[in-house]
This record gives sequence, structure tokens and C-alpha cells, in this order.
Amino acid sequence: MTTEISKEEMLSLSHKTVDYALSKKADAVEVFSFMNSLTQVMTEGQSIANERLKEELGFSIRIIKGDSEGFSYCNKSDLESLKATADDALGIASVAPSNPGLRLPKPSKYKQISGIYTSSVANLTIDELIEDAKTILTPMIEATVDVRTNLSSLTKQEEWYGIVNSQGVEAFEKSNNYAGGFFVVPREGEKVGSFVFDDFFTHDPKSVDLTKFGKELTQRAVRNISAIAPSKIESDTVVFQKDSMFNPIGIVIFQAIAAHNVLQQRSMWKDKLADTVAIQEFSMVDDSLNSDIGGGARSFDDEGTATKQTSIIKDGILENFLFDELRASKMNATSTGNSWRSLGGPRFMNPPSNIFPNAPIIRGGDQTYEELLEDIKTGITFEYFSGSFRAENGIFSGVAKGAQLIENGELTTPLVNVTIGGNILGLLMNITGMTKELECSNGFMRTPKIKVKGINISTQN
Amino acid sequence: MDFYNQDLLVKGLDEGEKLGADYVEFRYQDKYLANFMYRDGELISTTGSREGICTRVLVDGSWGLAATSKTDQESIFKSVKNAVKMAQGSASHKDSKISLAEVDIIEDEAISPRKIHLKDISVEEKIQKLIDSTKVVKDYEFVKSYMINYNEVIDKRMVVTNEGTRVEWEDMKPTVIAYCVAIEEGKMASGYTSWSHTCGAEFFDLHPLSQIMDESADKATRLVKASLPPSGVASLLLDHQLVGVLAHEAVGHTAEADLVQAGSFTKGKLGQKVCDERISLVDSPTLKGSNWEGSGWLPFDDEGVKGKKTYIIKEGIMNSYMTNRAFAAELGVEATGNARAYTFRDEPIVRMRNTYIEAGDMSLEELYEAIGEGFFLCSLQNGQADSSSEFMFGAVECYAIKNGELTEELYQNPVLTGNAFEVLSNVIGIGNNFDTNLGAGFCGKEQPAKVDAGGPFLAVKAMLAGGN
Repeated sequence: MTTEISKEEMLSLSHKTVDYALSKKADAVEVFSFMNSLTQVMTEGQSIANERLKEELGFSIRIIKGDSEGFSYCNKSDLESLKATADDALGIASVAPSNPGLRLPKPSKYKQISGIYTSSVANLTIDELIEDAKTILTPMIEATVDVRTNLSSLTKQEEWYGIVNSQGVEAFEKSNNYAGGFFVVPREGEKVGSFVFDDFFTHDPKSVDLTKFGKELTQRAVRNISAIAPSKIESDTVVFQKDSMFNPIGIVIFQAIAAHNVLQQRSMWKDKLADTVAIQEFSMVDDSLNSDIGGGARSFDDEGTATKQTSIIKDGILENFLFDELRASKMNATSTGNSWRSLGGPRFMNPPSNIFPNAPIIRGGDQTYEELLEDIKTGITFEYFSGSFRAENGIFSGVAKGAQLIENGELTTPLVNVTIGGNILGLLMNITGMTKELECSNGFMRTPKIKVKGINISTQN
Repeated sequence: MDFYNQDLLVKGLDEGEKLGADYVEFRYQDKYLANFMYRDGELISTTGSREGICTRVLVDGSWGLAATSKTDQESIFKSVKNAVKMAQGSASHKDSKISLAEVDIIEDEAISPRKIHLKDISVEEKIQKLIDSTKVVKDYEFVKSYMINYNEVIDKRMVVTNEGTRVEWEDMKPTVIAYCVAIEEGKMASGYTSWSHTCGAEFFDLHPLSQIMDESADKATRLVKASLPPSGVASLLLDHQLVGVLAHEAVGHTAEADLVQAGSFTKGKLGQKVCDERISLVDSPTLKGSNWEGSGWLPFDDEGVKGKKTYIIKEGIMNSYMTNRAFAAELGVEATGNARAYTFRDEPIVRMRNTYIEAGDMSLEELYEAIGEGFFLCSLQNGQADSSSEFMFGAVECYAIKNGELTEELYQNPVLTGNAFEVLSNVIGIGNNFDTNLGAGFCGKEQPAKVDAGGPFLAVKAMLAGGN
């Protein structure tokens, strides 16, 4: 790598920058460092497209002066650049408005999670990535219709991040992972089907069955070619698949439980703590301490606070909101270790101002998928939600992508041009079944499939 | 311009050729970003720069890419070596060799249109403008939460290739988003307003922040009383933003060469009628709105190709795809200057710039009359579309049109769905009022890209899915 520096160099630079900023009359200082290196094989159509190697190292500095905060970043690793960045952050802190309650976390004991850096990922070679990509592409090449990928990739990623602050926090974590994201377009003659997408994220490359992954992608794509636009669906029963459990259901819940939304009255559950918000069988926990769960496993959050297991909804009762240090300070609570710098892009570029679950898990039900479908006379299931939702009141409406008609307990017909609408508040009280098997959605959320009544289903014909 | 020592890259070109690369390209970037969000009395700020170099080489018909945030000579040499190694690794696994379309080799530079440099206004002044803008919120009894976010990007880029291309440009874009939540009798609604252009600090005069905040608070206050719209197929009048997202999201993506080759709706349709003959749809590296330059301004693309205005649809006929050099060669067409990379870490892929439908000749009154009974949808909230051109757009406001006249009967958050080419084949009328503003909108195809889109008001038949 061209950008790599050692953990010791990173910590030394961070401490020197903290000392420098304190000498410039900062009241509290935090230095966040982040290194990312990824090796990627891209596919285009039914072939390998190219290989990529990307590396970046970045630092960001957060400064509190009085009741005000400043933040700046750079992707340089020399002390002079870091001092200049600290000066910028100080400059902003000196003109920013007062925000009482600002503070940096004190050291909290965190236990380094095992299993998030593995030799099986570290030892993956580019040739192995190419062979894996070919395995995924093979069912597409063999398909009866034209199935092609676009901007799809297999990625071996290594990253570390460290936090040093003037309160005494010194935290460092290293992880690696192997991830895939495939976007596939089906076509037969003039007929174009809806695209399908799937991804995986793992610390153990052997745990992913890539042949199955490629076959299922292809089968779903081929199925979309024969989708029909129904004139009417007389039902209000919908089975949400893993990706639609994240969007819209998961996202709306995550916004409702974030303390900053509760504090500012933007949460649909702002007054619902200890109230029933879902059926009794519905529980959700945030658990970042288990490396098996995907991308959210981490020992400490983006402010350096130790992460933990937090029960969010237990037996249908809302038990906890999620906090970072600032909102904990303002709401007389304790940080739950859920501070995030950003949910996309290099993490060093943003201050830790987001609150989001680390690794949400919805408890499974007691049914197999077949049993879940069994008593549905007429209904639909769908893969993705393409639509709008309003986090402040839970209302959602949009297109049900990758939809299939369910008739007498069986999946019968692929559908297009079906729209759904409803309210997440009502939806969680109208769950009539959940699978026992959990699946990974969006690389970090574990969820069963759920069956819900009371959804508005309409067609475009 | 003198923001990076080009000689370091030129030496890297020689190194790449020595290592066996047929084509060597360096893309240097120094991107400054400042973001100030003032939300319910709290300021969240970000400022900083990212600098780096992307090396791309073609070896034996195969691409290799290496990106690094180190910009010294030694790191450039290492990066070339890595890129060549990457290309060699995949060469034997490719079904066909990549070739590049011939383009004009240019040495040129460009600076984006601006009157006042964004850095001529101090950070302190910008923060104060944000804080001052929120004072209007106190005039709205039911607005309980507010947010205003100002973002500016100053993006310096340089592309050099072993074919002789030497281009550099500096781009500058401010963006603002204001958002308010109103709560009345247990009901909540949000109001949202957003602007973005390619310009300098004159942006603050074009769009005074307090005016934007006021609009958002007013929208939230009106919408909290509004019910959800009815569902069903209806005659709809779409504003500039919704027409823009229809042009970009639902039609434009299907004409990007990589998606065409993957099998999108427009594959094989060049020269064929695809919609109403009154529709002409353009993607252009420049776009003059009513008083500003579109935020998709792109004088050269990230392969160093000079941008060209491209008619994707001309008078209802599929006219052109958007390409980068590799797809242009594969399809046997001209490179249109649409290769874009968001950061130095990203590969240039086929992206849009400013995408719009050309204006027609109907006045607003004529459009209302042509609709008769229907709805006027305005203020884009979000939008997504499929390779088949099936789309979903969320809007913020929806007004009833009755007896050929716009009424004050307001509904909140309508969702519009349909198939773009079917919708554009059933056009009721096209307005003569052209404008553009995709606001804070970004295109999210693998990597973000700042784009703009617009058009005239457009009357169509489509499905309204409101949630009722």
C-alpha cells in the first residue's frame, strides 16, 4: 500500500494534534483517523470488466471551545497538515453558536470483538476474486434469457480507525471483510424486466455459497421477464422480504428511535417509551458485539464509546431510544454507543452527528416461509420498496418491486405496476406471521420475513 | 491554473508506457467541501479537502485502476505499477478486449461561471446567514422543528493522458436545503425547499436563505392541514422539478451506454419512435436556467473529452445514447463526454450532466384547460426508476385542477408512478415555461454525481398513488 502508516504512528500523530489544539486554547479535542484499502473486481455484462485498487488515509479533528464546536478534515498524514486542520476546526468553533451540552466521551472499557479481522479475508488473492466473480456470472451465461450485470463488484476491504481525545479516550480497531453487490438486468427480445439486486457481506469468505447466490439472482431476473401488470388485487395482505424489511420498515423505525429525533419532536414514537408499538411477538435488539451479524459489528462507536447490546422493542413494548454523547448529555441519559460519522463515503469526512443502530436484529417467529404463506388466500410479496415515506408519521407509499402474487398459499405470478401504501405504526400492530429464519438485509440488519394485513394494494391498470 | 504540478503526472505517463500500458491516464483531484447544518439551534459543520490521484491504464485490452491519496512522485510511480498489475490480472479473463473511441486531443482549461468566489464570503458570515434565516420560523405557530443546510464544493481537476490530453478545470457549486416540520392537533407534515447551481456567492442574492426557510415553513404549515391524495390514473400537470426527474431518472438512465448494453429499454431503439413527437430530451454539459447555470456543468469529462450537447430523444425519435470512450467504441458511436467520477477513488462511468425536456408552446392557462379535471404536482421529494423505465416519484404538494382551473384544494405527498415512455407517449400538453432546479438532488448510480435537470411544465396521464 502507498498510504499505510502504523497504528503507533497514527496514535502518535493524533496525540500530538490533541496537544497542539489544547495549546491553542481548545477546551476539548478529538482526533479521528481512518484508513481504507480495497481491492475490487468489477463485472459488466457477463464478463470481468476490470480490477481496482483504492487506498485512502484521512484524519478529522473535532474541537469544543466553550459551548461551541468546530470540525475539519484532511486526507494527509503529516503533522503540519493536521495542525492546519486543527486551526480550521478552532476557527469554526470560535464562530459557531452556543450548543449547551456538548462534551466528548470519557474512556469506557471496550472489549475488542474477535472475528472482524480474519486471515481468510486478508489472504484472499485477486485471482480468487476473479474466480468467484466467474462463479456468480455462470448461471447468467447459461440462462435462457439475456441476463447481464451492470456496475457489479466483489470487494475485499480492509480498514482501521482510531480515536484519541483529550478526555483520555484512545481506541483502535482493525477489520476486514469480503462483500459483493450485483445489479442485474434481464431482457428477452424487446421485453425488459425489472432489475434485481443482491449483496453479501462476510468476514468468512467460505460461508457464502456463490453458486447459489448467482443462481438465485438469475432466477429472480428471469422471473421478472414474465411479470404481468394486474388489473386488480383484492387483498390487503403483504409479505415483506428482507430488503423491504429495511426500506421502508427498518429506516422508519431507526429514525423513530434516534434520540435527536425524539429530542426535536420529529420521532413518531417520541411519547411512546414503555408503550406498546408492535404485536407481542415483535422484538428488536441492537447488538454490535457479534461478528456474525455483518457490517455493524464494532467494539466502540465513532466517538470512542464502547458499544453494547441494547433492547429496542421487547415483546412489542418500546424499551429504549439510541443515544450519542451529545443527546445523552441533553436528555440526562447515557450514550448507547450508537454514534456514526456517516452512512456512506469515507468516515473521516463527517462529524459524529448521526445516531443509527449498529446491528439491528428482529427476533424471528415460529414459521417456515411455506407456513407463512400457507393461509394466504390472496396476497402479494415483494422484494424492494421504491417509494416515499415520512419518518415523522410513518406513512409510506410507492411501488412494490419484484412483486409476486400469492394465491392459496402458493407464489403464482410475478407482478409489475403494483403500488402499496400504509403506515408503519399500524403495520407493526398488524403483523400476522414471521419466519423463524433470519436473513441479512443491506449488510447489517438481521430480519425475518413478515406477513402483514391492512396494507393498501393498488394497481396501475 | 496552477493547483498541481502537471510534470509529476507526465513523468508517470512515461513510467506507465515503460511498464507496457497502451493507454495511461491520470486524474488529479483536490476537492474542498464545506457543509453547515443548523438544526433546531444546533450547528453541525464540516470543512475539509481531499486530494488524490487516480491512475487508469489499458493493457492488452483490459483496464486497471489504482487510486491513492498520496500525490508525490514516488506514490505516482507506485500507483502506475499497481494499475498495470491490476490490468494484467484481468486481461486473460476478459471475453473481449476494450478499445477506446477516437476523440479530439485537447489542451485546455475552464473555470465554472461565477461572479463572486465562494471563499470571498467568510465562514463566519455564512454561519450567521444560516442562523439569521431561521428567525422567520417563529412566525409559524405550528412549525416545531427546522433545519437549514448550506453546502459548498470547490472541485479542482486535471486529466492527462499519454495521447496528449492536458485539461484542467475548477468547478464551484453552492447548495441549500431548508426543511420544517409542522405539528397541529397530532398531525405532522414537512415542508422542503432546495436550490443548487453552478455559481459563486451570488447564490445568496439569487436565493436569500430567509426566503427559502420561509417557503419551507409555509409549506409545512399548509401541508399539515392537507389530506392524502386519492389514488388512481389521472391527468397530471408536473412542475419543472418533476419533469426534470422524469427526464433524468426514468428516461436518461435507460440511454446511458452501460445500461443500454446491459439490456435497458432503449437498447436497439436508435432511430425508432419512442414517445410523442413533441418531446425532445437533451443532456448537455451546460444549461442556462432562468437566471443561473445548471449544477451539472461539466466542460470536460473525466476522460478529458470535451462535453457535447446530446439529443437523446429528438421529436419523439430515439436519437443518441450517452457514452464514455469504451462504450462509444463498442457501440460504434461518438464519445459524448459523459464519463464522470465523483472522487479520485472512483472510475469514470457513464453519467448524465444537465438533462431536460425542451419547452413547448402552451401557456399555463392552456395547460390547466387541457387537463380539465386533474392535479398539479410540484416540489420533488425523491425519485427512482428501473431499467424498464418504470418509475416512482414522490412530490411534496398536489393541488386539484377542476373545470380547467387550478384550485387551492391541497393534498400532501403524492406519489407518481408509471412507465416513462408510455407516459411520454400520452402527453396532454407541453408548457412554454422552461426552468431547471434539481435542488440538492444527486444521482446515485454506484457513486454520487451532481447533476441538474428540468424542463417546462408537462401535462400527462399517469398513476397517482397517494397512500389513501
